Amino acid sequence: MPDERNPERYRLLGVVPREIEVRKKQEPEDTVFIWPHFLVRHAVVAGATIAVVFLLAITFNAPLKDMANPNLTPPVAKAPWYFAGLQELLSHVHPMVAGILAPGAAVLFLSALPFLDRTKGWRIRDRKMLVSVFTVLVLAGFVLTLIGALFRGPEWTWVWPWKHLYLEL
Amino acid sequence: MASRAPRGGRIRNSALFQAVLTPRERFRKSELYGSAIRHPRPDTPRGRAMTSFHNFFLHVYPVKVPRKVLSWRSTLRLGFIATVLYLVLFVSGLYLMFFYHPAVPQAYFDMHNLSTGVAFGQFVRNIHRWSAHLMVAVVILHLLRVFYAGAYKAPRQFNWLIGVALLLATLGLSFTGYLLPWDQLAFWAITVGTNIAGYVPILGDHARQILLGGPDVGGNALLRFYVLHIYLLPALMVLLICVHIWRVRKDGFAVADRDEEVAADATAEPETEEVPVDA
Repeated sequence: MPDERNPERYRLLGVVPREIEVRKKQEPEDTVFIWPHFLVRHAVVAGATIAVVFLLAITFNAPLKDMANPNLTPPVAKAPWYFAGLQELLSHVHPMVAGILAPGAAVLFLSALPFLDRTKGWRIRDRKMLVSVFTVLVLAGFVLTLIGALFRGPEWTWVWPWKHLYLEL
Repeated sequence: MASRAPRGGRIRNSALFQAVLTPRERFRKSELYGSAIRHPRPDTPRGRAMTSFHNFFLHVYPVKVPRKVLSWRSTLRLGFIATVLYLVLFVSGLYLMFFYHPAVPQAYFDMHNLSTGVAFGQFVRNIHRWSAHLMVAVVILHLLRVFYAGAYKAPRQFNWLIGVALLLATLGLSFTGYLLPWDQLAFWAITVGTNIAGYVPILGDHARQILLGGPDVGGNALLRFYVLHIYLLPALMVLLICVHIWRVRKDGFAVADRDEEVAADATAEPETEEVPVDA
């Protein structure tokens, strides 16, 4: 401890026994500065993203149909594509199940997932059960969405997408 | 002759002369630049670290990242792409707002005016529409990647939860925006979508009517969706994105953790040694 009157000198205050501490052996950190390594990559990704959006915007026009008319039901009224799976489910089961219980359970399951998962390790083989359940649910949602968005026509009948595609983005 | 050289030097050293000849260097020496940019040039390790510490926009990034994170495969950059798309939506949406009234039937006329009477109106609308669809897709892909990478595990559980909230906010933004053109497509998609709300337990049809501001999709619904779309949900989104990215910094990159586990796996027991610590 530095002496207050003379900071160059140190006083001995006491002697303590040597401690033995178990410490994890540390590897030297393999890190890089974000500039330029990380930021340049981010700039490339941002540029590519904007380029894709511009390309889409030049190629395809956003749809604009006739003015909204509550008295004129179109041949097929579809929800946006990300809700097409729920709409497909709606045609099979009670609206209470398809509209409230299923999406509610999905959100609850997603939210609780990290707290339900008690497995050790991040690899897929470390958590086979959870990955299987999750994959089955995601696939079910994907297939329902695909059917609802691409394979449904007037009165929600089955229409092959290559015959007529009832899909508006 | 002898008296000319110093005078020429004085002119050459004058602020105006330097500003014309070397504007970049002069600007870097200016008080304005010095007060705004406080860090040295990022061409030395110290300069690079200082750049991160002293720049608001860069401080969301760590000063250094694990080398593994540089690989495209580490995150597929999906979260970053979603953020870029959000910024594109933010800017293009601002432009569209100048030419749009959330009223029946003016909203529909505005859409027509946008495609015929506004400079770049159709183009900006296209950008807004396609980046919105892309953003929903990219956010879903981001969720899937994080799940399969196991990056939701401790200590990142809470950030996963914020991610779920961000997914819901994204869907909410896309859905509320869907009604705004006030065409047949918008009207019937929202009618179908909101009919579901009539089945909410206890509240029943009241829930739907609260959402729509009336018994059916009409002028009140348009105004409500507009306010949600341009005020409430974007504000929520910005807040959540900030917390989400901040937590990524605080919790560390999942990729970096994995290396430690790989190392731990290689030697059945974690490598430890007794290190005497001098008191």
